[in-house]
Amino acid sequence: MADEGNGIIRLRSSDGKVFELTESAAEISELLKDSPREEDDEVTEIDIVRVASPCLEKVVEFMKHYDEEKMKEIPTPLGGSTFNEVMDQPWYQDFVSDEKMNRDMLFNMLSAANFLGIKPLLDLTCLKVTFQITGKNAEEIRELLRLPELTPEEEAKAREEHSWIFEEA
Amino acid sequence: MNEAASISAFRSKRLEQFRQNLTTSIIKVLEDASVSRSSFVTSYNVKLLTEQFVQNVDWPALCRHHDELCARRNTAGSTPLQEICDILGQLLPFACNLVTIRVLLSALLHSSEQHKEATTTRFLPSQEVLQAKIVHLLNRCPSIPCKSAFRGVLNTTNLAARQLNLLVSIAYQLAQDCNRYRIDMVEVMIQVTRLLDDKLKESISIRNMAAVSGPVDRQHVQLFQRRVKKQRYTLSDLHDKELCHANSSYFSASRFPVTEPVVSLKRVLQTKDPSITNPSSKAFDLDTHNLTIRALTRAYKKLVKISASHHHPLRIFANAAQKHNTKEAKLPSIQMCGWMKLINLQPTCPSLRLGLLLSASLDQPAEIATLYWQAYKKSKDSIWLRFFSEVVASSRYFDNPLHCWTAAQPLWDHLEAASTDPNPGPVAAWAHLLTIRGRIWEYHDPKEFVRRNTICSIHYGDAEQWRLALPQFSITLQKYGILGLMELSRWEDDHKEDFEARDGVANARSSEDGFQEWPFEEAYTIVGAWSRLIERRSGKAMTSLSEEFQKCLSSPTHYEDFLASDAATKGEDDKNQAAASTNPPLFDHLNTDIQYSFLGYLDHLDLTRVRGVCQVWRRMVDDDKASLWHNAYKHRFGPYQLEAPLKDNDNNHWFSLFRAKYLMELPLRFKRNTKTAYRHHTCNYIGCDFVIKSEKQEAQHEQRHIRHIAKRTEMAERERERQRKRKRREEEKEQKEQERLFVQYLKEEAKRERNGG
Repeated sequence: MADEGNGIIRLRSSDGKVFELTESAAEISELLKDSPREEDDEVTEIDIVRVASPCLEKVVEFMKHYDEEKMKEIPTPLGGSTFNEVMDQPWYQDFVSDEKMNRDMLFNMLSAANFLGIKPLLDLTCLKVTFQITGKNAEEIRELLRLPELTPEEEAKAREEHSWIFEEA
Repeated sequence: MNEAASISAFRSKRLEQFRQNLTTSIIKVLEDASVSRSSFVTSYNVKLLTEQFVQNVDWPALCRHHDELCARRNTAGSTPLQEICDILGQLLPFACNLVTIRVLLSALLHSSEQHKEATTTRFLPSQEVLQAKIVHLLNRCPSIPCKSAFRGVLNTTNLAARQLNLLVSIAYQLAQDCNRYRIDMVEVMIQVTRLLDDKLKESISIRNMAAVSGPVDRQHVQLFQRRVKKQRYTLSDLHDKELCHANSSYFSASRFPVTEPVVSLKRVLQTKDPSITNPSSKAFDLDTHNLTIRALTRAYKKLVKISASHHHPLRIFANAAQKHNTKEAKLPSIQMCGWMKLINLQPTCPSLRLGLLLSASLDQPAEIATLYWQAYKKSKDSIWLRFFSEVVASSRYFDNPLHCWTAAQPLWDHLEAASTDPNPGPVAAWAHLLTIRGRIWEYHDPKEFVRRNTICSIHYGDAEQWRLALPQFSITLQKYGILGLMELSRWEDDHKEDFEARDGVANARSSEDGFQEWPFEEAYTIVGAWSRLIERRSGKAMTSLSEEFQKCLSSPTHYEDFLASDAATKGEDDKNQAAASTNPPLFDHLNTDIQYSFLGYLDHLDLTRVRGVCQVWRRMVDDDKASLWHNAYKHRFGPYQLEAPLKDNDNNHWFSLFRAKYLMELPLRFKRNTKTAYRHHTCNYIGCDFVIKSEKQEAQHEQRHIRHIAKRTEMAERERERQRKRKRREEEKEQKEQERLFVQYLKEEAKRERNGG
């Protein structure tokens, strides 16, 4: 039987690629933690059918790093006005930076994190999305999320209902 | 569109090709009229869409053609009218069913233009086809607002008196064929009355008024009478189907000026039979042993005739029949055979009403329920299910859980097998029963009850989601059921291990071919429920599902794509699909919880902006339970304090609290204490609008709140103490009473012993 925390877990993505990580690194994922293991196997294989390989690769990278350097919890209300002010650990800043991760990947990561039950990754990606939305008007957000436009009437109605805030802005 | 839908196109092409062409052109019209397409909601310009279909299809010609074919008894195969109705019903998405109904209604109104001379009071065959289609749509989609469908037709078209008459008749007929709550006759009549102010005052026939309004709506009738010139009318031009028990009682109750005491039901009723005036005569001694179908029909017609002059004809009939059958050991079996024949005679026509009356009059609810169920199995018409559920839910006989359980058993067996019936009707009926009879079952057999309930909830998906999706339509059968399920949902929490049963049912559902014909919302909720289940378990369960269903699970909008691709391959139109697949909206991947978690970080300004992005986010921001505004409050004003726990009312929603505080703070933004530079602000206690201008003042004010809280706790403590004392006093009193009784008992006992001794 494998020693506690030293076993190897192999994750197979939806397109068949396999990624390895240690059991201790996999512990932040609720799904992997609870998944059934054979008692005397050192290596456990788990199919992650809902996540594609590029995304799973990043997720595994995150899990491995998290095992070495824990991410600080994100305070609410947020303690800063930019992403880098709130998240002051350089590796994590870099991990979700615009250069390394495009928007599609970010949203894929969000759903993967939710599926695998990795709370820190979910928090980090949510924070990133939040700061992408902050300060933008509805039109820009819609463009960002690739949503279709509202009709002018709907738009006007939305503004009218909250005019007391926009007066100040 | 016009070309594709014409009769010549129907004749010149093969049926499949006709269908294909028509589908393509309908999709094109749909695309033109779509206002916005987000991942959750596709909205259309309803008015534009309706006009497109009304003007670009030659409905009068189609109807005329259909009528001619029927007149020649040439009914083999389908007519272009039926084809177009079917394709419209299938193709228009869920949101556009209102459009379909409006189109069909206006087609109905214009169908009779060619028959101006016809004074017949029966509906033409084409009109019946259109009506049947509308009824089908109404039954399939419980959320369609019928009121607005009628209003739309009344407002848009310039109607003649004859058409108004027809419209009212149609409304009445629909109200009879659908759930009666669906069509508000009073509303329709009021709208018609409004039109009358301008024109047509004299030409509208008052008979409609009489036929339409039950005794309950008498004030509206009076309103109507005042506007229409008072005339004396005969009732002989009533539609056959308009004759019913409720109307006859209305005639006599409201002293409506009726010249003929007995309604003539065309030829049958023209033969004057003296016996009908006397209910106890031989006419009612019907021999149910040897009744042929023809004789039964005649019996039925007699009944209808009597129903116009008597309040409870069926009761009389039932009594007579019972009397006749007293010699038999058991009454119902033979009689039921007869009724069964009768019902089979006309599975969709007036005998329905007869059935309802029958169930009210005959004292055999169990047999009646069985009868209705058998009728449903035979005809697949969900109206029978409605009768079935109504009888089981309302009859006192079924207050006994065992009776109720037995009666509902066939429905349940059907639901559990559920592989051949794409109709959501049985689930609706079951849900209706759950609402009314749930309590009884809960006590009768809790375990079984929970099992059924969980499986039923799978059919519906998440009840909460349904409630959110249909907030504006309060009375539909489904809603009934959903509310029932929600009420009982606490059971589910305790029994989450029941996954195997769920798997079985969902697999059966997903593999059936009819899945794609389900209304979108129902299919969507099932998909939603499943994806939640899957998330709770490992991903391995996915493999056991069918491929199409897996696609639906991975993203809610895939279901739309799935439908779209289906339609596209039919219509050879791949552009839209290609565009959708290369550039899907981003938050397709995200479920509501994730969206809440990143919206939770936003402040008030961003929340308001985000609210304008799409309908889904608007709902999320407005939902007070999600506490997005609570976060924004803390974000903006810092920590807060409470004197007492917040009560649950509108003014205590976090949005209202935020807004009130925000508006109070607005004038204080730049104000500071001139000496200490202390920033003016309002008190931190929620609900307190005191403005604090210095540190000293803050401390004093805080003390005041603390005193208040102390006082409040003291009062609460005192109240508690008072209650405790009261309780103790009552207990003591009770104890004394018991002691007294005991002593009395002892004395009596002693006395008795002495006497005995």
